[in-house]
Amino acid sequence: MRRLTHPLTGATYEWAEDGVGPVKVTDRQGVVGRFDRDGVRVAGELVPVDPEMCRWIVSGGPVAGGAAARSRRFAAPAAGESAGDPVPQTASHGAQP
Amino acid sequence: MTLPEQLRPPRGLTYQELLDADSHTVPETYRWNVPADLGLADIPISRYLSREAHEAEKERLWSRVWQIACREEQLPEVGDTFVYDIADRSFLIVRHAPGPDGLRAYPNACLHRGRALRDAPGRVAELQCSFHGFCWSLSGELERVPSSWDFPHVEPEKFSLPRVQLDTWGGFVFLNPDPNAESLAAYLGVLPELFTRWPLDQRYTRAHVTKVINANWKLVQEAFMESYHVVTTHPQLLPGFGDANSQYDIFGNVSRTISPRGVASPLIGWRPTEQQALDSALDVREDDPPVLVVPEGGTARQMLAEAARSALRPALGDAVEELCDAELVDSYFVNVFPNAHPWGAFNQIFYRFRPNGDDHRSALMEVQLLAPFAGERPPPAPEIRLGPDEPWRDAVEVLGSLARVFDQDEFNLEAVQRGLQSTARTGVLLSAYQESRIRHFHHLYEQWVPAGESR
Repeated sequence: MRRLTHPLTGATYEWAEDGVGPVKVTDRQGVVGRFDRDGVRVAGELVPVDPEMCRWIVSGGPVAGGAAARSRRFAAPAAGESAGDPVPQTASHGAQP
Repeated sequence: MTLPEQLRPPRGLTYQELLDADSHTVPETYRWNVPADLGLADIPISRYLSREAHEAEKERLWSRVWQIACREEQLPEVGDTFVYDIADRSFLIVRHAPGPDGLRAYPNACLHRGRALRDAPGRVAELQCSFHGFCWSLSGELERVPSSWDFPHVEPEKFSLPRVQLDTWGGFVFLNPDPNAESLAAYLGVLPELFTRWPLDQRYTRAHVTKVINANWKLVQEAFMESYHVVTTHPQLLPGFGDANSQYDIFGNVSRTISPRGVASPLIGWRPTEQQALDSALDVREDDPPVLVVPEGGTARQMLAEAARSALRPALGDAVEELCDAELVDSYFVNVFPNAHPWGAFNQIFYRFRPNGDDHRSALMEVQLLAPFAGERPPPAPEIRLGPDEPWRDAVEVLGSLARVFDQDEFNLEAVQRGLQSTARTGVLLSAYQESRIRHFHHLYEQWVPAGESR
């Protein structure tokens, strides 16, 4: 679930349904490993892994949306709104360095 | 200065070529293309590690350079005070009168026994030392001395608080401890022109997070001065981020990078669809529900620009229609020497990097989101402070997905510090173009802190 394909290696990174890792990585040959937030192997056969991709998968959580998905680019207060009010989200996803 | 053509790597589309396809006329400042040939020399590693370098910075840099102390919005009313600490020195900023000329800065020290006059921000009617009660007005004149009969040697008219140079730009309060420093306007040079279309004084602080990172402040700062690291540190962005298409420019004490979004990195070796580029830019996973759908013949850049226009319309009104795609979509990050990083256009980001007190092995990385607003200025968000072991994601409620990006960046920083302490090399290797802004920083740094003093 919540799967991303690594743009350079083609391996898939996803939040494991059973939470083990909690990152499940499957390389292009189908070899699978489970990894923690920092890319440290917890289980499985796969050894080389991208730790930054693991961090991204974990920080995004198991469910789409929420604060972790909110982009500053698409958030600005409406007229008359104070900083303490909820920030409207036209499009609620996004991130960039 | 220009970069020799042979040093330029093949990067596919240049940023200027990308601007040619913008749906709007781009601002003239986007057309400025000012690379710099700053040589290929290594940066001395001792500059990041040695106590001597830190002491030299205190004497030659922080005591003489224009630096941002705070935002004007942090001192809206007469009597508001702000404490700005840099290395082992402390300054007190005070609003003594309304209006743009109503701010003053003083060394944060009582003229009696030297106690800091203020420990923290707050609103006061006068500046009274909490030790023995010497007291000054907000504008710095001596008001009273307890048991004044015992101080026949204090002449009130000669016992005002000494003033520190202060000026403002973009809603930021700058100070300079050097009474002989050049004017702030001369120091900033081209900076105001870069921001003409995005006046930062018309923003408010929507979020404010400061984090301790166990690495030298320069090392931390340099991680945010190039897009060269994106391929490895933020690989998830590559289908929608033109890292190697970035443009790097140098202007006096200012430098900038513009990195296109909504286009794929030339480094990935395959061509994502426009929808894949959009999903990557919005962090939509392969099994997430879509956030935006690219219509037939549309592009990711167009979709991102329209979403940003919609989000900004409540604050900017019809003016959003005049903003070009590049202003709405691309990452545009600026460095003002030595340590301030306002982002251009409506990116909202501002960074500042400082030593963590007098410790040269740890730094304060400060992030503010500066958002446009309509109507009455909202109050600035309170500062959230994170320790070295508290991840950025602890601030995800205020920083959103940006906190997750910082967690990726931070993964490397303490390890860089450790590595520099262990390496057999004596210098840090930098690329000629993509890391040219770091070279530019050190080019300026060596003018302020001569090499013999910083090693």
